[in-house]
Amino acid sequence: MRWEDLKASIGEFWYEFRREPSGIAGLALLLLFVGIAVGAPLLAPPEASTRWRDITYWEGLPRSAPPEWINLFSSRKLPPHLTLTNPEVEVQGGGAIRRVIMNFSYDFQYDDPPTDLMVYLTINLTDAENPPTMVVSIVRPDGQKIQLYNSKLRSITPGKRSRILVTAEDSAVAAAMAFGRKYETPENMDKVLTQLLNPLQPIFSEAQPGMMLKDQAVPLKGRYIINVQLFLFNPGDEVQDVRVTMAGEVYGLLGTDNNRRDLYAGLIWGTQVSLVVGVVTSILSTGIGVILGVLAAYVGGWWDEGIGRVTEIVASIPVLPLLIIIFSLWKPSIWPVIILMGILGWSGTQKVVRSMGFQLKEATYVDAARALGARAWWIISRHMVPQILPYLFASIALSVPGYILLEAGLSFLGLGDATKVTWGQILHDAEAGAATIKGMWWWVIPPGVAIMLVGLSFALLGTALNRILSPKMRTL
Amino acid sequence: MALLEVEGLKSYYLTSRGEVKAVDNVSFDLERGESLALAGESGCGKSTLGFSLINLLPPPGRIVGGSIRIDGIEVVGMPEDRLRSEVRWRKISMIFQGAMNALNPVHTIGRQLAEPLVFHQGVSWADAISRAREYLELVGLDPDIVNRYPHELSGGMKQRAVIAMALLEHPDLVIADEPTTALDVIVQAQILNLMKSLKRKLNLSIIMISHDLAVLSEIADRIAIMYAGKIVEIGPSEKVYGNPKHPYTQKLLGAIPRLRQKQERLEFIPGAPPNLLNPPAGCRFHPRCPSRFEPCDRREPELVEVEPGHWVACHLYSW
Amino acid sequence: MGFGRFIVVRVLNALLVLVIALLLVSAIFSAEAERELRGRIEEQITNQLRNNPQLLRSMTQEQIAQWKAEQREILYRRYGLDKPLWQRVLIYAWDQLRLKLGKSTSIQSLSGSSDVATIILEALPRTILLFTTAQIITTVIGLILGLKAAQSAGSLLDKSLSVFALLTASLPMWWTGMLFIIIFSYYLGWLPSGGMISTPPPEGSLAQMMDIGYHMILPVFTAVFVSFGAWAYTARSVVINQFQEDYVMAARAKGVPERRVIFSHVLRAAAPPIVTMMAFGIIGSLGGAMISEIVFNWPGMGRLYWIAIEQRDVPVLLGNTTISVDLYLLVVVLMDIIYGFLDPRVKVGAAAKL
Repeated sequence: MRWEDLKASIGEFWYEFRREPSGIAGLALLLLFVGIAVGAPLLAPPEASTRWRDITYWEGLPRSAPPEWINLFSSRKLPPHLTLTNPEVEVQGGGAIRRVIMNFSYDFQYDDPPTDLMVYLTINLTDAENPPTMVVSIVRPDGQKIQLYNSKLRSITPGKRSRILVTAEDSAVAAAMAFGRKYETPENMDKVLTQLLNPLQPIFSEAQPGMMLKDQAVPLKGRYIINVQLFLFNPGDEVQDVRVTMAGEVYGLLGTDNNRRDLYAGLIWGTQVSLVVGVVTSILSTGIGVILGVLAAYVGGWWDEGIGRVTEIVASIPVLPLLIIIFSLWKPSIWPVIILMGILGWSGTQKVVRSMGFQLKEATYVDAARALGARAWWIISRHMVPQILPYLFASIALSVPGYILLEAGLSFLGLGDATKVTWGQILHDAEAGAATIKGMWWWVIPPGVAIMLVGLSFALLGTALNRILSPKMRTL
Repeated sequence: MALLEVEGLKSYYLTSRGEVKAVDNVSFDLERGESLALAGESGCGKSTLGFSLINLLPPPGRIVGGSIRIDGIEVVGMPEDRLRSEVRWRKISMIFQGAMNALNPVHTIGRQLAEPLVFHQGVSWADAISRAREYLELVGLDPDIVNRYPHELSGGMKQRAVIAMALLEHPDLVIADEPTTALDVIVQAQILNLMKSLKRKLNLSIIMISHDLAVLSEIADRIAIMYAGKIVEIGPSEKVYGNPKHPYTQKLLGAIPRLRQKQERLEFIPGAPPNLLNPPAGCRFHPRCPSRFEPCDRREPELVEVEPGHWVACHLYSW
Repeated sequence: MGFGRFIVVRVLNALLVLVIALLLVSAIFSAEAERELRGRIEEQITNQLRNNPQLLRSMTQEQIAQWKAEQREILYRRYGLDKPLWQRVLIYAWDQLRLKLGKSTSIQSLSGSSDVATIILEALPRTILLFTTAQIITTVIGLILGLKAAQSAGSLLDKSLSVFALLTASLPMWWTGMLFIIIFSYYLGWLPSGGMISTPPPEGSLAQMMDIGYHMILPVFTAVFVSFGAWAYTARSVVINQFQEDYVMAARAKGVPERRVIFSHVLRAAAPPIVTMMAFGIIGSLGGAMISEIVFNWPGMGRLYWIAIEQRDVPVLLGNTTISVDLYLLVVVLMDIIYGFLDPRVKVGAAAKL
């Protein structure tokens, strides 16, 4: 096949392909997923993949939070997970003691208070023995100011980004109790369990009886000021990049799981694994099938007999139980999974290619080539493979969904590559975390839909390819 | 009265892209004991005509007009259950391409032969099978074949079995659709001889459909040439074969090598058969016709009798 | 090749596959187990030495090394590590083949036994119950719908069936189960979210059977929902191909009643290819069905896999794999036999290539 012929046939193919709406839909869907897989580093932080199992990385996020957009469908607006940046900054004093005042503005328009307040900062200290003091207070829309935190930052590591979970401090709980006592009835105060109290509950509620109890409180909507003050005791001390996070009850596009992991990031990074596993395995198994099929057809005789036997055996090997046992004894990793699935999956292709090869071998031009003294590999590569090639593409596309399902199944069983995020693993964690009986649909639905859509895109593409390319096969 | 009278028959395939006029206004008749050959290129509508006669067009095909009378009984528009119990196989039966797939691979030959007897005449399976044995013998097969499956038979044997199957209920008319295609030449000759002798013995009327004019001239009393859904020439076999009038017939015969005549070279017919979705105006053959002249692309020629019993639809003879 | 020979060949083929699979599993297992065992033996020797300071003091460095080697040899012999690896692989595979599956490390059967065969025998009938029920329903619905769609090719039913089949084909059965639990159990509260029987179980065997049936609804519905589309679609394709065969046309031309044309000619001739597809379908959904058991907390073999993987109970894992392979090959052979029985080209006389 010469280059011009190839170009012409590709052009002709494209002309026909454009008229297959399902094929176009499949291609568009596939391109979308490829785009996501390639653009994953831009769409989600790389640490989300490399540190997926590192719970410290996810500490800052809310646990088991549904996606933010559920607020659109509910009359009860839940606070999203919000990080406040760019405060108004004022520095007072100079020399020995400096006071850095930062005011973060928080527009609160929700029906539940935020669940936590945390401060992120990086401090460079000249004298580690003498860390700065931090004071955190909240100014309510009604003008009342409540101080939640006033302490020396002893536990932080200089030069490293640190997080202070303000609402977990006793001082915050004490301040909330003190604030509540001014307006709340004594009976209600008795009902409050300080260990379980969210300090932000009274602070984000109307100052009236019931404010300490979640089911009775009326939210006080409006603009809050989070006031963070830092007292620096050494002239060389520096404070960098201070942020306040108001932890919410809803998070991001797809919510979080019970380990606070951002499911959106997991879904994005899982795309890579799914596509790579599906496509590479499919190419591998189809490749083996084609080689053995052509060999059986071309050489024939004992080779055909022998390869046929092996194919029969491979065809009836139960793949899933075998993979389960192999990967529960060995550490699961993505490449062995791909290779094993490929080695166990070629029998169907071999059978089809063999029968196609037998037809091709009888074709007049192959006879002619042989009569002209062409070598075997020449006949195979010039006359047989180009004819089989179109079938190959359809076959590769059509076998991808099966492998994606198989890999997802293995991952779901807990036999996935531990260094990567996969959709199957997310679903494994969902099953282990009883997501179904807790109704955590945002944890269950997206990975499954993604698996289905990727499968669908290849199935659509494969059937369209088959429709276009198979009539040509019939005219052999 | 003729055994079969076909008048103005129109069979169309109603596809999403429009009507395919596979049989368009065809008329002819057939006497008892006579054999008629239907010839033409593939796609000219000859098989559609054959299936129209037993009213069994594969969907989306439909008879949209005209009349088919067999023994004076109108078949077009007859309800399906009457067709099934009175016409099919009892009046008209069909010889399929036996070498191909006319026999169901999962049933024995006997069962398939006996089936219509059981369902039409209420004969017991045992009696039906013994009748099948007689007919297998008639077509020159071992009657024990009733217990065999199709894959155990050779192509020629299958074709004979299919012929026996068609004769089982003494039909008035047998339609043979390419009965010898896919058989090798010697077996072809055997089958043709068998059909000739059966025709004589049983006084059968046969409509034989084939693209192979040489085969047809062997067996047919009359030949009808079809082109693009129409009969363009019909007449006694020796007249059509020996003295073709229509330019298409002439070309068609020129495309066949002959043993007994000297021939300069084999001819071929330029161009391709027309698209029946949108056939050419006037004479449908005019785009490929070497002797077309002024009216050919405007007016459709009628069949005219050029010599006794020999009709041609061409402006060369009617203008 | 006669029918008898055909069956013998198929059974031999299945046995060959079984032996290869078990050898493979045993080899992997033995290699892995050996590493673990050697490590444990070293540990044991070191501990022995540490717990006996007198012995340690009384010996020179060389003597200690020699003593260690002697101990090692004794322990190796006790655990069979003195035999070459291939021998141990063969012994192990032979045990698996004879279903001598050994003792579990942590999992116990309901009766408290830690015999792997007993544990699996408890789970096996439950898997078979769930799987066959779902498979029978799928087959019946699939065949009926496929036939209807084939008879009215191009109709709305036919088109929606194709779309449905395409959509459900890439749906993981276990995920669909999770989805249905959320819908039918969590939000609608119609059906139990999992398990095989209520706790405490109801009184009386009839009530218990009803209760099991009630628990089976959702898993069976899930399995049927995911597979019947593809089933119907393949049945449709096979039947449509049959409709275009000359012998169906011939049967109609013969004036055979339409019902008989469909049942005696179309479906009967479609049976062998449908059985082939059924075999692929059953084998393909066996894995998915097992994984789905986990989702529905159905105490069958799939659930056993999950527990064995979580607890790293290797003997149970191996036993479960052996039984799964047996089950799987049994289905393959059974389907082969049914196929051979239905197709006269196999049953009677010369079939070209099997």
